[in-house]
Amino acid sequence: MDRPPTPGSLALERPCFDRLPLELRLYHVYATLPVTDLAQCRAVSRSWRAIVDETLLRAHPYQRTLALRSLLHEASTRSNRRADLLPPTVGSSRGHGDSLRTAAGAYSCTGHYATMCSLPSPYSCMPLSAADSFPLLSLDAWEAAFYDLSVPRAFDSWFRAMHKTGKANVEAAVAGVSARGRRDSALDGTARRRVSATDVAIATGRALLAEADAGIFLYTVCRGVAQRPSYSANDDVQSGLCIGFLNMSLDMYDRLRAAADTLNDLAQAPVPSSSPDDPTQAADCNVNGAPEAAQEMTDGQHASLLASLEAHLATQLLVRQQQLYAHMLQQIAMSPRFLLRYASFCFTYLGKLFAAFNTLPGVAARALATLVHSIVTLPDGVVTARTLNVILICLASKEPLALSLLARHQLMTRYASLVGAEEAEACRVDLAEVRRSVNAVDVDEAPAVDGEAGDLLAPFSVASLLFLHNARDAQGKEVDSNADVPRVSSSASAVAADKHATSSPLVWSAASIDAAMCTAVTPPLQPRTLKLHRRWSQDGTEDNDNSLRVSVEERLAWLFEHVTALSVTHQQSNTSVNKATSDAQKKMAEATGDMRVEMRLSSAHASAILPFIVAFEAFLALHAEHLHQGQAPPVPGIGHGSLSVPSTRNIGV
Amino acid sequence: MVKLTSSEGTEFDVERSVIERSLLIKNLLDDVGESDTCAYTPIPLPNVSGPILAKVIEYCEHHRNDPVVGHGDADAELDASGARVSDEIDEWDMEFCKVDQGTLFEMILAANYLDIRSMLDLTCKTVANMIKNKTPEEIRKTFNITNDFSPEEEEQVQRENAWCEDR
Repeated sequence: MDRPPTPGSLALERPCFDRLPLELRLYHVYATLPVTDLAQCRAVSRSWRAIVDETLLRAHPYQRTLALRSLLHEASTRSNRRADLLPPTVGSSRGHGDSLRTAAGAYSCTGHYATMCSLPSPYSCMPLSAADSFPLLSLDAWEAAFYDLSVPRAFDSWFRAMHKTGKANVEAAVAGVSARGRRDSALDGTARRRVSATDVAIATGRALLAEADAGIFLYTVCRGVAQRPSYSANDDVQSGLCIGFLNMSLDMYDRLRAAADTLNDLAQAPVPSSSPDDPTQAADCNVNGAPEAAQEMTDGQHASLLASLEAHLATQLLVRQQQLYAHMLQQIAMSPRFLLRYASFCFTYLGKLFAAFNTLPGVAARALATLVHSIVTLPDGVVTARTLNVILICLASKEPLALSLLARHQLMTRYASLVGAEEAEACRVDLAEVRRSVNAVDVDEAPAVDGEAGDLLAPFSVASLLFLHNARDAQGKEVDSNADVPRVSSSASAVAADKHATSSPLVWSAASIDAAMCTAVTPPLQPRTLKLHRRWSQDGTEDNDNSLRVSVEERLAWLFEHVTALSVTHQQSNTSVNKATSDAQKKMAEATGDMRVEMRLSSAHASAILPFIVAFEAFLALHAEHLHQGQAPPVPGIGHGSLSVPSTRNIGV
Repeated sequence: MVKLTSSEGTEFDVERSVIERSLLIKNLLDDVGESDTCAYTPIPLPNVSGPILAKVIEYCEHHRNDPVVGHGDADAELDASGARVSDEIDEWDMEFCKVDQGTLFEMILAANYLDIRSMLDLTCKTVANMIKNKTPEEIRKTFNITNDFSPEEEEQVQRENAWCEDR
């Protein structure tokens, strides 16, 4: 029998992490970490990078949860390979399945741990083979795999395969628990019904938790792939990701809710009282021959411990459920072409998104900002009058109105010439509603802009108006240079570096956004801090001279969050929400930087929104005037299509 | 009772039902049979030092009534996907693992050697939790690891990871 080093040497030189046996590190430490943490581990040192890559390739549980074998199988056996259409990053003269295998093979052969492929797994339940492995952190490999699944039907079958794997895993976990329960019952001769139900619920919950984690990672993958240039314009991939992820998320959403409810019910079930005369408990106390006096934990204590475990797991499940929902909203928001193509889907999606403002306002605001940004940055000609009007109709009368109006304002500013009269009228109705709310509040000051000024400011974004209004309030006050606001580079290179800078109306109001958010009138509940991050260009070099920047999309998200904070009236004291749900929402808010807003429209907030209302009204008036005259609205830098294109009302919901 | 001898020769008397959480010792005792010889013949454990053996016994004492998880029941502690839930550690276990890193790693080695699956999982979970939610620099600090990447390599790794970082 092989022995580890002698104790003497251990005593002299105490072990450090890197001296633990490789197998232990690989299967017991790294394999338990989520992929995002493993990504951090890769950046620690050369040896860590090599081992982590090996873990991700061979031992990570996602390899099985995500049914990657099916993915590989699909990718390598599809007959309609077309090497000439390979995405540039994985281009190869061979078939695409070959390129995928090469990617996986190259991955497994990098680093000096390649020889570990022959290492036996310490667990019989974790058999590993080359066919299972997939380079989880290689976006190229994911892209190649998705490429071969680009036909929506194949995508759908892969997502369904993954769903089946998840269900099978849950069933296996439950079966394992039942088998152990039978064995234990046979040993002690008693049936512990409550504990058995608990065991099943906990096993199911854990399996679902793992499945949800893998699903959330898959969202990251989908987001990464969908944003690649070769896929951002591929309708099949976009729709495949959207439909697949949506179905998977909604199904998992329901299962997570059901599992959490079961666990909550069990946790709230009365704890059996401890009675020394109870023969069942007497039998339990003597399990394994332990004397009754030595029993450290009574059954009552044991049950309450289980109850707390159930409640904890239920909370985790609800957190995952909400995270998954947030990712679903975000994932679809990133696929504007798909939304524009399917009106009924778009309508349903926006309904869900606005419904989410009640529980997760920050998440919904960011998803809406992403959607708006995705649409306003589409190349000219993609958005037609018909598709735009479908979106505008979907947005009409959605609460919170200020958000829906802000979204419509951004879209209408970009595509002014495509807006139909009815859509403009719907905006007018909603604006009037918001104006009524604002008028009901005792606003300190008169609107900052009159009609004439409003005409001039019409194309400005709400932030510009906020700035103009608030700048006056802030007269004589010093702008806090340390304020928690996005720092926008004012240099021309920074603006030019943004891919869609020229087509976004936010570019020319970016400096105003910055200034506006620095002023005194900002919402009392601050949205999350914007993350500054490096940007990389296609050739792998860093954009913009190593500067850390905030993208236009992030600025827009930030703006939407602020307007949400200004406008959302949230009923925080929702008595129907049970404790676990409320805990889950709190955790979710912490995890996502979401804000739970308890807002009444104060005078300051009304003052901040009022200029936007005035400007939008002026914009609509101008738009109506030009429509009446049969001319395209004179919005700077904008002019697509023709006003003569009739808008369609056939949404087909 | 069973007598165990640590690497330095320190002897420990332990109840058989307690130390049988170690599959290594359990199998050994099963092989020897029900004779009394095991009570008088110390079992040498040359790979485990006295203080670590004391910790192992403390763990086994506390968990003496827990169901034993062996290799055949590997899935008992695993969720459906094979992942072990790394953030669920009960209070006593957490306190038990509040030791310096050297001791913790020795406990991992001992649990592995003595084949105490639940203790191995616990100690490895503790290490995994030391890694979670940390930046590479923080991980280096925690484990005293030297950054041997060249600036170019470091940049490359960051670039490779950028897509999967939380945003």
